[in-house]
Amino acid sequence: MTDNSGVLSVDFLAGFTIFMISFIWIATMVPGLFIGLSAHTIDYDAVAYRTGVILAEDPGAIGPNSNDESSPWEFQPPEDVSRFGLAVSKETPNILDENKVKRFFCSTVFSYPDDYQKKAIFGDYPYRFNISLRTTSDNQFRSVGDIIPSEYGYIRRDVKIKGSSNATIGDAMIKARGYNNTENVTWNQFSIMINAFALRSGSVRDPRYQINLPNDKIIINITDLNTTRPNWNTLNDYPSGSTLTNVTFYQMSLGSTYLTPWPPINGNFIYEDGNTIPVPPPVVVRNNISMVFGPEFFARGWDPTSTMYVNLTFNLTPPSQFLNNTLTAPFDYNYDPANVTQPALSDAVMEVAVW
Amino acid sequence: MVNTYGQLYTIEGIAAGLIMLLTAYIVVNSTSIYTPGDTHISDMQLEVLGSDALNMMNTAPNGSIAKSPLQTIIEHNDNAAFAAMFLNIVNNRTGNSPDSIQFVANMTYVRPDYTINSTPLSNSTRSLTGGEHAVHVSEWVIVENKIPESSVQRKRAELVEVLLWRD
Repeated sequence: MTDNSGVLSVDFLAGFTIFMISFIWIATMVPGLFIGLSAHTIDYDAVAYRTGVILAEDPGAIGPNSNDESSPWEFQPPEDVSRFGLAVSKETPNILDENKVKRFFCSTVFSYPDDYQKKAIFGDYPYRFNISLRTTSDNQFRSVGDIIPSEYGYIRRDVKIKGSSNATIGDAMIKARGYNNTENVTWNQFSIMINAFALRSGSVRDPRYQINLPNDKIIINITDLNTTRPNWNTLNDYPSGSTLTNVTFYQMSLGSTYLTPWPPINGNFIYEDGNTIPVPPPVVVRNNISMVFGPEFFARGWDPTSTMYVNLTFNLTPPSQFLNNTLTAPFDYNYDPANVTQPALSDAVMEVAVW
Repeated sequence: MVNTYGQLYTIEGIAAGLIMLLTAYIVVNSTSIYTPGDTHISDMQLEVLGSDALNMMNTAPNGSIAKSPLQTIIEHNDNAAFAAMFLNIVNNRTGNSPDSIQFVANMTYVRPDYTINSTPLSNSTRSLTGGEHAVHVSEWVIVENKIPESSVQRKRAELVEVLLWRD
């Protein structure tokens, strides 16, 4: 006997079709659900690219709990750094700050890999990585990370590193500007002026070339101190001939005519005749001295609109002509290339490998 | 006894079968994760490198120098200097072995009669044959020169375009 048992109806077919279409739609979305879970196997290049962008184009950021919001991350304790970034500013991609570079690659400050994973690589997956930077001019190589395996994500960025400015006050400048007094005296004073307001708001506003106080280092070299003295004999007269007895600091606020004394620096900042270890005054001068003022110098109650004066006092035996600008004008640390060698941009290349 | 219990009618059966086959095909097909972006990663890396290189060439080494090396090169039409500098920058690596990137560069500008002119600027030793997988990067440069020679010297924007590829 023939009946309709086991026969599919049109209703069933329609329902089944709708169900299957829905199933197909859902099934096609399933891989998307798992992409995030398996991302670390396919996105090494993307993470490397992102890290390269963060390092080369971002100035970094400090955390919300920092006690000093005015200072950038390179002058913060490690726990107050939120994001690494080596660029001088957001407006100057690929121009790296020397202070940031040194701090980033400092293995005694930041621990590998935790600090770098949290502040540069990001992501939940614990990526391994190697970040390297080589300066072309002096072939200086810096790196942080593991040995690179055979397969990894990669990006390379061509960058420049902004260095420090420096001034050299030598024989020619001393004579040309009358920095050498004509009388034989025991005490000689030489004054250096650093106009922070003019450096910040003067003729150079481009962050790539600006002397950026208080973060940039200032280097002042004074050369030919004794060899230009009349009747000077290094062999016989050194070391008792001339002594830098004291360095004092003053600050004059914008619009003021009064000098406010600054406390002495708690640290060594004078390099005598090319020595690599700084010393505090008094310093017996052979022929050259250098002074390096880092951010710690400006951190002592610095007014960004002020003019700073650094006064050097020399004691001479016997009394003699010497470096002395009390009758002329203070040496101005400014954007004039005749006075100051401007911050230079050095070519460098950075590579980021992630796996 | 023969009857029709458990039997599908032909059309419905074929339809259901096709739907199931289609479903299986789409599901199997969709579970493979293809990453077509992978094929473009090397392009992206080259593009970043070339763009960085032109940007760095168009940056003066310090504030006392008014013109960038790229400006000077274009003003003096110094093809050899462009090739040497560009190749040095794009092939530079942190390790010892340099990369093997080649390039060909053109320069485009507007003439005083408002027509656009494009001229070869420089190229590496290996020329572009057409089979290379090259990427394109460009940089606007402000230069001060006379085009044509009889005209007045003035500042103008010129577009440096570079095709680069790995050898």
